[in-house]
Amino acid sequence: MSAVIYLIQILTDSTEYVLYLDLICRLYRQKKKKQMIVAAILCACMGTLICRLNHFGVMCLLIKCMVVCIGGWYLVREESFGILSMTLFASVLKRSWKLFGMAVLFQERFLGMRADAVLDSEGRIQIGFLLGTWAVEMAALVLCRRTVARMSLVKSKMLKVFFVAVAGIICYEQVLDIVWNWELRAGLKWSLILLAGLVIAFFVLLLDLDLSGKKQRIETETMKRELLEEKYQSLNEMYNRNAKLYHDLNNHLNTLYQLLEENRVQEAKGYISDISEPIQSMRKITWTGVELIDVVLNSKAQMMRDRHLTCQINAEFWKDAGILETDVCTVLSNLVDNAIEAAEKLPRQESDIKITMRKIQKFLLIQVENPCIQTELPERGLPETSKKEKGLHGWGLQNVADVAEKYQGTFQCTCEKGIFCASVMLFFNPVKEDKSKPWRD
Amino acid sequence: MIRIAICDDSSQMIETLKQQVLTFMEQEKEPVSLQTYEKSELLKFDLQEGTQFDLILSDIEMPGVDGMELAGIIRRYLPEVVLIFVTSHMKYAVDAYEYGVFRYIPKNMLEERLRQALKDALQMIHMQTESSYRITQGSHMEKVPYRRILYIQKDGKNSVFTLQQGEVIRERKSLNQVYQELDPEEFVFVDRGCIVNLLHISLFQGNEVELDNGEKLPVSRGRLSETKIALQTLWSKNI
Repeated sequence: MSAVIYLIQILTDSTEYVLYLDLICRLYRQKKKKQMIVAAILCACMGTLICRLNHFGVMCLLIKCMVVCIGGWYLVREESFGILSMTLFASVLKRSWKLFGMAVLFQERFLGMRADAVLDSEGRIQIGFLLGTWAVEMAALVLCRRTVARMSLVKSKMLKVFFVAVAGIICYEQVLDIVWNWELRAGLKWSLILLAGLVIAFFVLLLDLDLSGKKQRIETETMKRELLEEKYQSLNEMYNRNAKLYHDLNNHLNTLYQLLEENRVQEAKGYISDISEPIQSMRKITWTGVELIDVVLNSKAQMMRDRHLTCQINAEFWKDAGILETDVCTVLSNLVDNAIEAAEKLPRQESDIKITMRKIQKFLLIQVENPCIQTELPERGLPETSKKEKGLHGWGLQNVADVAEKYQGTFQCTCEKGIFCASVMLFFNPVKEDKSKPWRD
Repeated sequence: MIRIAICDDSSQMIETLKQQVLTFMEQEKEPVSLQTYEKSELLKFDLQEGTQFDLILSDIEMPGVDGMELAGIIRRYLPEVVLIFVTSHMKYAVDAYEYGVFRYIPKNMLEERLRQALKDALQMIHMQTESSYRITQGSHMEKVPYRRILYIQKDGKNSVFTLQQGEVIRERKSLNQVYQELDPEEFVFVDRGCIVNLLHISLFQGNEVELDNGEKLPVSRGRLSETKIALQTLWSKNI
């Protein structure tokens, strides 16, 4: 009989671990089905061997958490603190739910037996008890699944989750004692309070996590809108100048005709250079041959000319590289805006702002350099800090980092000899089907 | 000495290109040997016979062997050459990187673009050409230019160098010893048993690195971001 119970326990445990690991995968937005099942079975065997049947105590809870953490880390390979705090929280929530269920079951109206008696009794009651509590647990985990996928992981929030979980575990131990000692009324009351507290904490934390995700989305949207507006404005301005020029064309021609008629060649030349000035400033240069990128480059070049900053542009782009033009624009406009801002702060411009976008092998290197004051950026030189949220000011650079990540690339900032250099490397995303096709036709 | 070929079916264009290239190289104090081809077939034959070039400037629309076919031949015989297309059809320009074309220049923007392209090309040609690694083969020493080394793998106590065109050389030194003698800025451990020349890395896909000869090598998880950073740092200094 005990063998059957063990078997049941391994089975129920593995499904439980599957659900846990699934939660972790969802949290980190990764999909690994096969590996997950293998990891879950291993976890279940390990967990059951270590904790035997006494699966109500705090020790067992912690051990199970460790096992899940190891399994989860093996699966997603992300920072382990997030995994640890989420697992702790999920298990204490689940346990409290189960404890409440037990407290109800122990009431005289239902089982009317002491906890140890239930566990000592071989056979049906124990199996029934195991399966019953297990079903209750599973329900809680399944309910969590959907909400977890919405969470965004921020380290400071994880710390909150961790503290709530630890507090929950301490309370859980107290309430466990009460329930175990068959204090029927008190057990019911306290387990209910614990459960309610944890559920409230869950929703508060969820709201908190969810809100921060939403905030980020809103910021991104705003940035996009601003970019679009800026582009529209520069286009509009171009158009207006053009219209004015066209409108005055007749007048200009008349004046020129008059000047030439009177043989005032020098003055005519001066007049031409006068009226061609606005044309100069709205000159449209093909940098890459991709319209969107060229518009961004031209509008930024115009912006720099307006602010009397000098610049050098060396750009190329390849359409079949599988890199979205909009992503390149995000990178370019953010980095160039920062460069302009920094260069403007200097009393005088020591060197050009350099925009380089080069294809090397099968990757694109986008680099924006601007003169800066050395002391302005202390420890930013380290690639680690430029990746972390702290080192980046504002969402602009965060978006650049996101684009880099999207193409498995990297984002580095360095500051050497008075030149600040932001560099982004994006790997091509070759489209497979086109490979065999000759690209001539 | 930089070996340059110019190929275009219009002799006028050849003359323009030649003038600009020679002027630029003179400014850069770069000795040059220059060969011009009015018929692309002739360049093709020369390539097949093993003539070496560092830089080729070519038109795309040409009678007979056109630019794209030429690109294929060039890739086969001179995988390292820097190829610049000068074209009046910019539609090619943004379309393809597969043939390893270094740059496309629209004919109507020759003035503005050629200088920058030549400058970048020169930088490219000069990378790693000076340095080389010394290998003791029996009683004599052999110099292997860095540029020719694709990757070095561990084989027991020896190191195996894989060079371009599939050549393999065995060195009786441990991988760590070899690494100490190499320039750490240009070579990197992608795995405990494998050093790769950063110059030849073309793409990262998942946990694999693809080299420019199409070969793929596994990168260990721990070294992935380190390798990428090294790659970025190397090129960021050289563009």
